[in-house]
Amino acid sequence: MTQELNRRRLMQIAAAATVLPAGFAHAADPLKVGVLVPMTGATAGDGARLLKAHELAAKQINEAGGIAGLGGAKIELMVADTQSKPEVGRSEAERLISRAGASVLLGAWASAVTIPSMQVAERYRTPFIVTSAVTDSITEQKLQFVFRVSPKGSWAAKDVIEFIGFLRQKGQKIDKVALAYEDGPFGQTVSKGYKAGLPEKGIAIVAEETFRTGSPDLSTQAAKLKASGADLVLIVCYVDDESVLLRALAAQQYKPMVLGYGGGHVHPTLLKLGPLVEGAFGIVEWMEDVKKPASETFVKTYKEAYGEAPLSNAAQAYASTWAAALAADAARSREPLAIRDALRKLKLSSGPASLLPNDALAFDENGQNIVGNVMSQVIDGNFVTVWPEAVASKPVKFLK
Amino acid sequence: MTFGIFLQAVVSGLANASIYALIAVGLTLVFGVMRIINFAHGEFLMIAMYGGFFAWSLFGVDPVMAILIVTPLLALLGMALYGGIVRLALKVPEINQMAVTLGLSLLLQHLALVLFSGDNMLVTQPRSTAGIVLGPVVIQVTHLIACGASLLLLGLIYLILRRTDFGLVMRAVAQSRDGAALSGIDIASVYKWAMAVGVGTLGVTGPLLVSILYVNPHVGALFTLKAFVIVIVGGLGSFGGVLVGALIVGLAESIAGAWFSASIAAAVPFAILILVLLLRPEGLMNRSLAR
Repeated sequence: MTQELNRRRLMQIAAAATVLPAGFAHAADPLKVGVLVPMTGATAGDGARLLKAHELAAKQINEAGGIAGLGGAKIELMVADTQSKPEVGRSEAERLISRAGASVLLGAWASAVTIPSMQVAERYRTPFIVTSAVTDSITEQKLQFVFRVSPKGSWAAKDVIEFIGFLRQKGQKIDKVALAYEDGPFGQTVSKGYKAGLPEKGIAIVAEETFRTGSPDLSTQAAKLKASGADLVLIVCYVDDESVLLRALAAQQYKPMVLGYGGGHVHPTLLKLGPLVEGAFGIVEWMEDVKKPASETFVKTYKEAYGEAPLSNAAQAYASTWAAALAADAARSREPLAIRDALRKLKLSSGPASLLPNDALAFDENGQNIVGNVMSQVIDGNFVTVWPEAVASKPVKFLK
Repeated sequence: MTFGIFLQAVVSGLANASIYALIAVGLTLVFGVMRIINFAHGEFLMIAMYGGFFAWSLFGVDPVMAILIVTPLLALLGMALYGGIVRLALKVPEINQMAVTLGLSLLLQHLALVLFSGDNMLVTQPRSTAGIVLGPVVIQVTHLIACGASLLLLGLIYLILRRTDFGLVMRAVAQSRDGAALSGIDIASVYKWAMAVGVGTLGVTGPLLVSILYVNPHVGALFTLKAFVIVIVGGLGSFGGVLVGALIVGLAESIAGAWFSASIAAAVPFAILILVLLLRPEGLMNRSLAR
């Protein structure tokens, strides 16, 4: 019985092998897209989320009849695990291009892994779409094959300053600002941006308090912040310390406006603090309630497919997959060079790739997508996008 | 820096010192009696903090009351740690002992990551944000509770060591293992109980600390290093040394943090450690448990 089955199966495979290449190869050879994600190692959790979004986009592209410009060719994701390590990212990028025949690469989450991987792509003259890495220099080296969907890291401070201007326009009194940051590379880098930009707008920095992650008591810092009389406290730290700091501020009976930097400030843990975080702002690259048709459709289909809400990195991975497919479609080619040229001309103001909070997904001469951040605010115990107004789902709520 | 801020820094330093002392006392107790350095001490603290958190989140038990449940559990864990691992590790060279407890600390962190995920968990109560105003100084209520508990626990341990037969036996073993054995003291049993008390003290610390901070699988590591600094500055195995070490580290850190930046403040305990090791290698209070 099994032998017979095996024989039949073998014959089928043999038949397919002889027939398929002749009729199949040209018209519907898939577009091979290399996807570099960390499936193991320190950032494995992020990798799993990124891959879900890449796969959702590929499924949608294929179900809608594939890539028209390539005669309905399907998109084929070739997934490679970077193990969250730069050297593995580099060797996997090399393998995907030189041996697996990828036409375009997507990835690779952290900047440390992305930079060596994209340099391989540059050397092999194959386009590399950076999904989420934010190190400024990625799109400042005049690379010819590197494109980035996510914003530059330094743009967030710029957006925060712009947002403060917006609040002032709305009649909020913000003349004195205090900085409270964790005294590590993360806090120091971001606060440097604030210290450079705020005085230019005539906003005084009246206090600068630092702390180490995991300090059980921040009451001295809270007392000094209170003494400074700041209207707004800009916090740069991980979600761990924010709860300790907010509690210390509350114990001092000091309730300024607070604005936190980074994904940690749009983290569900924070909501457990209840009334303490009501009204708090956080800056982030994308939110699931961003008011754009593409974004709303993405959130709906992602939730249907995976039963959980997508994070900002998922939105970026999704946009990058669509951008790769649409560039191949426009180029009518699987050639890396042709796809690169098409990526440069891409301007997607509607459709699935337009879910990020800018007018259109497009890459400038350095391959950078000109995209800003959004501001979230805790309103009635939920994170809500309140700025920029074009994509806000609710207006800013003023507490005083 | 105004005088008010300085006072606030002193009060914060005292609050931190009391928490550090709560953590370090178990470490020094175990070292004093057994001469073994438990690198997994911070992870047992983490377990106690999860204990306090789940008692509150699942059964609505106030963290102060949770001490009564978590402390016996931690003491049992301490006994299991002795019976299952340390008993065997005592027979191998010291460097292997360190490797064993270090390995255990990583193992516990990863287990916690699997069981509880890496997310922070918070205990939120009305008193989490309450503060008592004393002139220019604000004391957070949760810190005040930890301070009080710390004083009570340290006093209790002092009395046990000084006034009970159990304490006498522990001190005897700390002074001379062989001498104690010759006098008919069951060394293995003393070790087991020292470990139970040493780890059990974390059952008091954990629930109180989780209501001040948060808990995640790596929270113990934040305190392990600081506890070592305190224990070494005060004198390894010295009970009074824990108090002195904790006060020095807590106050110096807090005042330096108010004056300069946090990264300088974080370096202060280690600068003190190096100074003490150079000038007084036996620690500031070099009377061990035995005397």
